Amino acid sequence: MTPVATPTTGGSEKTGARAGQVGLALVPAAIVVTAAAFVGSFAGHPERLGAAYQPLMNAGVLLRGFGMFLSVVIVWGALRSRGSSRPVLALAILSGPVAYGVVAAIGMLDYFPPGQAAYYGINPIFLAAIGGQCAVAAVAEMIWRWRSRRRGQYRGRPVTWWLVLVFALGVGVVFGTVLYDGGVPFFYVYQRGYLLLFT
Amino acid sequence: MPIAGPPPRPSRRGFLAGVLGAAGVAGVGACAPPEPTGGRPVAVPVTDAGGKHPNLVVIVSDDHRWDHVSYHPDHPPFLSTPNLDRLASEGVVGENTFVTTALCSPSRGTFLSGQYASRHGVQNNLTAWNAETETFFEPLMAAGYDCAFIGKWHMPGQLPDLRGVDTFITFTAEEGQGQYIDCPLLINGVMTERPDTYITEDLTDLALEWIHSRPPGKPYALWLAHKAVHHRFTPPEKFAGALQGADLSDLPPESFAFQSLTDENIWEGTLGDLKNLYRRYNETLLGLDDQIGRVIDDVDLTDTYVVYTSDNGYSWGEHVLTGKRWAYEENTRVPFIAAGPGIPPGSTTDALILNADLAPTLLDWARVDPLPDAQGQSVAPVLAGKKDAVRDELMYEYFPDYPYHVPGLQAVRDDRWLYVEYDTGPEPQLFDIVADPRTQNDLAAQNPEKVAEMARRLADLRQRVDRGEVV
Repeated sequence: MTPVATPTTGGSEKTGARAGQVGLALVPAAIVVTAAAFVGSFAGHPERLGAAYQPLMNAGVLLRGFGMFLSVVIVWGALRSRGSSRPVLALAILSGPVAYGVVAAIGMLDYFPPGQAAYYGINPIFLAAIGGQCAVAAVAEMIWRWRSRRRGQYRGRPVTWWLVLVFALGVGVVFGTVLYDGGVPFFYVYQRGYLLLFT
Repeated sequence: MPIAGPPPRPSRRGFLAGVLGAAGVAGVGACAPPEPTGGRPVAVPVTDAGGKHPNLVVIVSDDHRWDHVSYHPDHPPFLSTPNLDRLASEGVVGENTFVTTALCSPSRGTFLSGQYASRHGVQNNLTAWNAETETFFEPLMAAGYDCAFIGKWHMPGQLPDLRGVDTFITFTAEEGQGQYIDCPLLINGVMTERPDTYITEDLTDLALEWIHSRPPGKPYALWLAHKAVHHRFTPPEKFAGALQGADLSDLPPESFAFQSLTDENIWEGTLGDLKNLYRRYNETLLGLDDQIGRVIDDVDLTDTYVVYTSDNGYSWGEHVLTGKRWAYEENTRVPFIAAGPGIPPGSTTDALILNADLAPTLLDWARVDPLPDAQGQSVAPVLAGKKDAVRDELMYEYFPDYPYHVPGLQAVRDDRWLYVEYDTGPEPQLFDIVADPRTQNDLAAQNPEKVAEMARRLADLRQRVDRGEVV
């Protein structure tokens, strides 16, 4: 990535800015956790939400999916404009999927021992979410570059081969884990991994 | 290859005359069984081609819940299953038929062996079939029956060299789940491509071909296990879109369109809008009914028993669930129709019938010694209207099946109460099924005495099942 010039700041300002960037990077995780908590609290209780039950439940699960698969799009530009480091950008990509994986693994403790619950945290949906966020991040990076270039804030090319590659790989992971044939073939791969590890 | 073709098409004799004529011939239990010889099936020589041993045809579907047949008073108004209705009108409907484990593999093991999953060992979709387990085919074959297993096996482990069958046709695609379109079939050990086929129709073709090629005078037993109506809910062309305009508003109020995205449902393979999936489920069911009609058309109920049932039910939004496994009615309760000699046409029974009863009942009809390890009971007298019931309660068991979000559980159910104990997670639940058929109101907290009583009954049943007793 071509570095973006950032104004010189003092130490505490730098720390505050970094904290702010980390906070932004955790927005996808917050979306996932909040949506999961909402759905978990109200699912099965139409009497609590009345006529809004079905729209809100649908919105809740779709929002969770957005948080897992696509949400990096809403923070990527801001993080790039603030000159976020690669670890922070990686956090933005991973926080949603990891939040899903952790919440899912904790939930699985109700049914299976800790090792098996942990394995559940890396299920095909988790892998697909990482693929989705990578693909979205690649697109978001291209958009950010294009817009920054128009404003004269960026001099590199908006589209590079490796951004295209990341996008293609990300889409490929989503396709291979959950879209191809309804995700059934990869589910069996995952299940075989379970058998190998735990039986 | 035993599937010979093209065979002659047998004529179908008049049903009414058959019932009248066969009523006495059927006489369940009229033929005294031979002396026990120590547990192995006893061969009853087939010396009389005049129908001493009736033919047996068992059609098992997948995930077909009990109330999705148009003979059921509460069936969805858009659903019409004329062929199942016809079978019901020619036989008996078991209104209270349940599976002992609401999951494909364990339930199939129970059908074949008459044993609970905890005894036959196929406890979930990941535990292997024990090749030593005896199925009803063995004594039937020993008694001179031609036996065919056609359709879904779907039990983990290597496909067995299934004892007691001379024709074994199944599929291995998708870990044994099969596929609706062009599903390759393993026909007596030879993997065979089946281009341009729809599986329900293909299996029915093979079943009819097998029936037609039976030698005259020799009894046969056919197990026809369909993939339908399991997901991915793919109807045949003829019925695709048939319910496009149907009012599907009967889905439960707690359900919502994208509930398949919740952790509890995500692995059911049912991603998408619930109503659309539900519509396709019912269209697939129309296709199944259509093919069942072909079988009914082809068998003679004066000398053939036909049974239709399913391996488990299916939740369509009840308890925000899409799938099976739980002890709730939508999962455990299955359709059951039996027709044949001695069974009063158009009758019903409210006796508690289990999937474990199938094997003993078939052997009873065939007048062959029962399986020594079977835990179910013959319901032949019940189906013939000669007995009211064989039990007043049943035990249900479920074993965790990774990665599905369902705890191990066991339950006891009678004609009013359902009591469920979970290995982990929820506290025990108690439901009054008569007042609350959708099991929405857990009454455990308000009824500690009833809970204690049901817990005792469940513990007693558990012990009896574990000891291998008939229950």
